[in-house]
Amino acid sequence: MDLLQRIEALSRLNGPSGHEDAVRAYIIRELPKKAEITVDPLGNIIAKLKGRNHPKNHIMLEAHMDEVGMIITGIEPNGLLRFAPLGGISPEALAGKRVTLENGAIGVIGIAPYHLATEEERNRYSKAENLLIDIGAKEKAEAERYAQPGDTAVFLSDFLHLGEKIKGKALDDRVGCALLLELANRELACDLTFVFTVQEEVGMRGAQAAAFTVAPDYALVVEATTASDLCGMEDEKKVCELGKGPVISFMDRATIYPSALYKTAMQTAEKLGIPAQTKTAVAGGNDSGAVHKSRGGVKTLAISLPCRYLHSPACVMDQRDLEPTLRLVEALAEEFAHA
Amino acid sequence: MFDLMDCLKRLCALPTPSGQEEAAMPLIEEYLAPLGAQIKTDRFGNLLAVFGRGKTFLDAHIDKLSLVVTGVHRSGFLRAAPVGRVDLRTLAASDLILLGKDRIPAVCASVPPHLRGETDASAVPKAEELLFDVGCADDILAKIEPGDRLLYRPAFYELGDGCVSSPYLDNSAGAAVLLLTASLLSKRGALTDLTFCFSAQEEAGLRGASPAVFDLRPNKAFVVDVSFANQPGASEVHTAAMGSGAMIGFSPVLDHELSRALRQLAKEENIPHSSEIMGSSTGTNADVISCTAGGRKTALLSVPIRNMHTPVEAVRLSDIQNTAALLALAIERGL
Repeated sequence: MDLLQRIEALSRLNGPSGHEDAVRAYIIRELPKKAEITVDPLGNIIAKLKGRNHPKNHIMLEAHMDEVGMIITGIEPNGLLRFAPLGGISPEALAGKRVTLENGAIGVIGIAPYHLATEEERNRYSKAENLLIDIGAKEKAEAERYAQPGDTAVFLSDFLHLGEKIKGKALDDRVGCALLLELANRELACDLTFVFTVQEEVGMRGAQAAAFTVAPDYALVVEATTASDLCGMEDEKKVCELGKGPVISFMDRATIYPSALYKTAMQTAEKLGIPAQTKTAVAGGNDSGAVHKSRGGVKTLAISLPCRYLHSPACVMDQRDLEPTLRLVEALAEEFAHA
Repeated sequence: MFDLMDCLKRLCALPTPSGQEEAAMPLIEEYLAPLGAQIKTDRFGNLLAVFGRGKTFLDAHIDKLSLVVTGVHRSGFLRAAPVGRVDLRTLAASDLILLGKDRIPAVCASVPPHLRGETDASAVPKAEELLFDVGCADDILAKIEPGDRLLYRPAFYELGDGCVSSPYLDNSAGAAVLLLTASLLSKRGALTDLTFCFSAQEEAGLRGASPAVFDLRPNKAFVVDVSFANQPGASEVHTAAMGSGAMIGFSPVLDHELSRALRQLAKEENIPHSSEIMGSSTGTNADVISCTAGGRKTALLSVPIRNMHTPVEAVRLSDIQNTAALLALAIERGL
């Protein structure tokens, strides 16, 4: 299966934080037969693969399986569902969007019409707690046939090609999962441990448990990171740009990356002729935040893929960033293994 | 057998932004020509299906809310202006389709507030701040020109309990009422002297109805559109419950006797309905049709929908069926 098909397949799977089962089943199926796979109590996949040699350092490559979504908190007498966001969803990405419930039922996040809204209501996004999911039910008893409090939902959004870009839900971080699956299925230069984590979007919880169990010397986190490279945006506000290759961060809101690793990554990219960029803002965070503090500390680096409209139904990424990111991750894994 | 779900789905998928309604012609022809209608368009772009002398006028607008491309940037972003009252609160991260030399998928960019110079994270962007992302391959940009239209990407989903959701139930629901009404009347041999008008440019400001009426000079008119269904945030005074049937309009611009006769008929025949009381004009083609070219007695029937003018409008199919049932009976009884 080629990489794009794999990304599309992963984007279509539903796996909000804590409910990653479908994604986990897919990844386990797609990992090579020879992988030594364990699933830990939280649902993280830990897959050990042998390479041509057995290096002195234990390297962990990781990507998270979960996506942002909603959890049903209650059912109104009129059959509408109250919900809380799972993960950080900005308010503009909620009203007027379609969602898929756990049992496959489709709902919409409603909003009273513009025509009846006050000036204030027209100019402000509603807070999540004021929005409701409509599944077509007339009343509470009927709605209960489709959903129970504690059930989850995710955005419903088709996977599409926009020129050389791709658009879909959950590209954060199914693209990371797809890249690691691709690498795992190649002939490896050295032994590597591949980890696919749960619950990143609700506070890097899976990574905390997995990093303890794996106890790596080095970790490479493959993530999607926010790009604000919109038309008319000043360069310093773009954070990073689509189509300019993997993003190597020096710092984000959860991690100060070791400067030696940052420099090595930049030099390796240059040596291999891979386009690479850094994040021009200390923004966001990823599983590195949990991994680098694990046990007595893990030398950790995030290699990210730029992504527009990150926590929305319409993540947009550039196909041209995929292969360079994969090459850089592969090269760095080997480099750190022998460091 | 009239398949309402299929009919509605096909209407919702028509690429008919205001001013480009001709794309609906083959569908109208397919449904109404076999019933004996003469199909034509007028100079303005309204689509007409005329039976006999066509003196009773049934109207549903066939155009859809859209945006018009005002600028194309080589970085792969478009600027666009709304044509009609597009709900700006629901645009960000929505799927659209550009009708240019090709059909090109687009996404409305979600521009973070701090990058718009807003300190308040909940501020909705103004129309002129909107950006539409089409990727940036040169071969794609070469196919896009200012003046091209953006529509929401056709989507049609079944919700529970006979409800469906699509961006374009306004006014595919109304057009479906007309097509179903024609089918019902045909079975009863009552398709005489009727004009079915699928009017143009309603969303741009009720523009198509007036030329259509001027040409045809009908004696009487029934306008079918959508109106507000009950939902949180919408006052009950202005709305009808989903599933409560046809909304019968009462307004100074409508003919009071005709409105009352419709309500009486619905009561006698046990057709689910509600009364929609408006203090002034209706905001529909009825406002124009009632007073153009000498004027005529005009009634308004509306199908209740939720989330009007958003990508997730929702309707209950039974409300379309009941509106068509009432309209067909009113025509048959010569109201």
